[in-house]
Amino acid sequence: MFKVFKRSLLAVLFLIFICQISHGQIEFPVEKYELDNGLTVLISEDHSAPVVSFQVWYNVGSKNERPGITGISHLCEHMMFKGSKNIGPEEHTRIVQANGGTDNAGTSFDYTMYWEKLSSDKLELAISLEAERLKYLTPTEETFSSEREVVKEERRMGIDNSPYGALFEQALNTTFVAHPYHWHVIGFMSDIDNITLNDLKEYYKRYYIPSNATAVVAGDIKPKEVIKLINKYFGDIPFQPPPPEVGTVEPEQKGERIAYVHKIGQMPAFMVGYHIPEFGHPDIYPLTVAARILFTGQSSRLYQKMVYQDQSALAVWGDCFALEDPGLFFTIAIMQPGHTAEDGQKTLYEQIDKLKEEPVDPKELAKAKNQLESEFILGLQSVSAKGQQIGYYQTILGDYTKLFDEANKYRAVTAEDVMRVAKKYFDKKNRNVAVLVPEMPEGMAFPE
Amino acid sequence: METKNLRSKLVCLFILSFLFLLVSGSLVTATAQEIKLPPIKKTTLDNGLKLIVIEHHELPVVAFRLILKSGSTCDPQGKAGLANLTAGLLRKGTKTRSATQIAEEIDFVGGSVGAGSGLDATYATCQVLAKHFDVGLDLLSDIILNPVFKEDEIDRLRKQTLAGIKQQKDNPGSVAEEKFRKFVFGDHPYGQPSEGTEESITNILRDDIVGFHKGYYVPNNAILAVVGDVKSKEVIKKVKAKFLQWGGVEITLPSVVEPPPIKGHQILLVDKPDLTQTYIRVGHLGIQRKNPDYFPVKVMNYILGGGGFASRLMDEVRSKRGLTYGIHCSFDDNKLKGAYEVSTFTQNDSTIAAINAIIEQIKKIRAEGVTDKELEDTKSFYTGYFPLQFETPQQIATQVLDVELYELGEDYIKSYRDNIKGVTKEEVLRVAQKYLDPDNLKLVVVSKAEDVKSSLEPLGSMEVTSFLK
Repeated sequence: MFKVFKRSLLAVLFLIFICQISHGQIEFPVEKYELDNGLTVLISEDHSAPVVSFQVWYNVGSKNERPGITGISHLCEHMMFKGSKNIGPEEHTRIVQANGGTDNAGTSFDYTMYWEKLSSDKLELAISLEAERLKYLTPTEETFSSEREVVKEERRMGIDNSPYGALFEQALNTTFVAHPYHWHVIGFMSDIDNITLNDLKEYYKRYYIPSNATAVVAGDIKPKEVIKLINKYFGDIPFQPPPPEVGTVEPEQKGERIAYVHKIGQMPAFMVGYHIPEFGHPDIYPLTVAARILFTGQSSRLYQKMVYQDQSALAVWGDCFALEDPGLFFTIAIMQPGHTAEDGQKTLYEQIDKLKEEPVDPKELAKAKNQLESEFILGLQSVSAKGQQIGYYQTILGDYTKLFDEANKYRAVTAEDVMRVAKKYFDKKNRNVAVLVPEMPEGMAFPE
Repeated sequence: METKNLRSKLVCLFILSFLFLLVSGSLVTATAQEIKLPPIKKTTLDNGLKLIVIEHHELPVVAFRLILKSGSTCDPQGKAGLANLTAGLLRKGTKTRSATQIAEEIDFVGGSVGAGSGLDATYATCQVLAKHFDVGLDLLSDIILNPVFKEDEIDRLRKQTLAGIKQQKDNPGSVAEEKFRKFVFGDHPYGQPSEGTEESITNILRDDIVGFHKGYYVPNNAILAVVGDVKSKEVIKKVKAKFLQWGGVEITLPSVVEPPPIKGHQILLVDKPDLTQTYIRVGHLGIQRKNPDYFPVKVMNYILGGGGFASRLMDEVRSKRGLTYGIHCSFDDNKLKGAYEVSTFTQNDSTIAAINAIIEQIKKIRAEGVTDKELEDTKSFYTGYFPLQFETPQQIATQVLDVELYELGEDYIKSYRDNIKGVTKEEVLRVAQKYLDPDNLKLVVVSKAEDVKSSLEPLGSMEVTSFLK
């Protein structure tokens, strides 16, 4: 469909999958610097092509929001393209493209990331543009009100007019009751409507500061020259203490929760989520292995059972969705006509119970580890991807080097570990279910 | 992913539906000054199979991509979806392996294998770590040469496909796209969805599938690209060992019906009563991939609406007026004349405003052409961006195979940037006038019909239908 979608919510799932998986032995050189104002700089020299990826990661996302201003992180990301002291609205992208490059940005629960990809001799341009909007953003009532409408369209497309978007939002609303992961990154419609220009300016001032950011440069560059350039453009920003961490802790769940979404549609679907610990927690590794065994590939247990043998589901998938604060292990299934979401859940729970009762077969465990190794290597097929990996680890865990420890942690997972975490987290009392109930438009019947 | 099987499509659809955008991992391996692909080793086997091998040693990865120059365009009337169903069944059992064994083998090495059909070609792909080269080649050759098309697997995939088609009706963007194709192309094969329709899928029998495989899955109709951390000599030897047994037959391509002519503004209003947003497609016939005006058309299209925030449509409809989240236009890159299409969505209330803005911009570019700055910026974009599309083994394989499939010539990649640089303002104006026709357009509008119907009436002739039809 649309080939250019800008300023969108980040592909949270994909990026995190890429980033949390590190099973190969591949390591690449990274130099780390910190400016006096607190900006972290990661530089990875890679001369395989005369290209550079420049990324700026801000440790702010929907987790930093509160009711009344949900969606402000994403709105703020949009406004970062709407002009600053020396750059007009949408000029940023036009300049990058007119220099043969591409750019974009994304907002997730935990972070907001901006990037440019250019021929390496254009690195200074990218750095100057990112510094410009960090220092001198000039949102006005005019640009803000038109961009608000754009974001509302984005919400209508992704959530309100999409059965699965609506299901996902409901699943979040149900799974998290206290933590800001309760709401979707896009925010609630009324909040998008009510956020003021002043709210936005304050948010920007609070979170868009060097001590809350990591700049990543990966590609055909010399680190010594890069750090000079970064200093030239970012060095004059004064230090501001980093914003406080999110304090809210999701209380322990005391029983299963089920929510229903009725939408015009063709097939029932459901999403099941269990609370799990935060990214980097030791249990995340066996949980990720469990996800590979259950969901990855056509030989996976759930594909075999639901899609292939029973033919009850059109599709089923899931993953260990680890976030900066405790996240969720989720499954989504779209049922075949004539099969109910309840049937699907029953099958899913049987398969999940099997993980608790029987140790996984050594060959299955080896397969999961091979898949993780392959995902890791395939996830490094560019300087941008490498940059994303280190940027993510630095932003979420505060230490990019942890990326290179991941391989050993996955390798060490045993069948007993998988069984242990299955018992610990896949408990009915810890379970959240959102069910999509398809309905007919009024006065219409499906043609048979 | 290249694997266009149903499941991955659904997964993508789902992920996109709530996450909106994959911030594209941008990967680069070609130079910005000059396209310096690693040496391309081309050879043709005795049975006619063309083989392209490119050594690319960045990472221990290898990508296989095999194309057959027959896609859903070869689906017989009433059997739309045959090419795609045939491709989907390849990994569902061979003479020596069951579907589950194939899945086990490829999953065990953390690789992927899949197949699908587009309009002009069928492709099978496989990606593995280089240490698993033999597993990848063995599986790929087996599914191409020896599929058995068991009845129970056909039933299973037919059921999956039917459910997938049903499910597409929940996605207003897909509904708009399918209706637009049918509206513009009529009975021409490009008017049929590659995945088929509920009716056509039910009509396809095992004999059709076996016949399609026999008629089109032949070495003289195939090109295989192998790109990655490999040694060319060894690859050629191993590919010969697997593929030389493959026998060829003459290919007969079906004849093609002409698309219907367009008179004035013809509107198809598709009623989906739950929508708070209207999905719009506007366009007509475009050009063939091989058209000599390809480059000026590309430049013109970028400025009009293909260039994202650098384009006039985005600037006008999104940036200035906030009417949409995205607007885009494109000329299809196909063997036969494809579609020219503008796509967007907007609130029901602003449907007519968005459509008028689109028509106005088309008229404007035909009347005034483009500015020097627009032209220069566009050329810089494409000359800079082109090398960035040769980043991963998979991408390289796709690029070199496209050159073969569309017969773009040996020098195509090398001369691409000179071709872009050579485009003039006069040419852009000429192709805008030649290939855009704002007075004769087909428009598909998927919306809550009662919200938009009266505002559309003054625009042209209108037909109303339901999204379920």
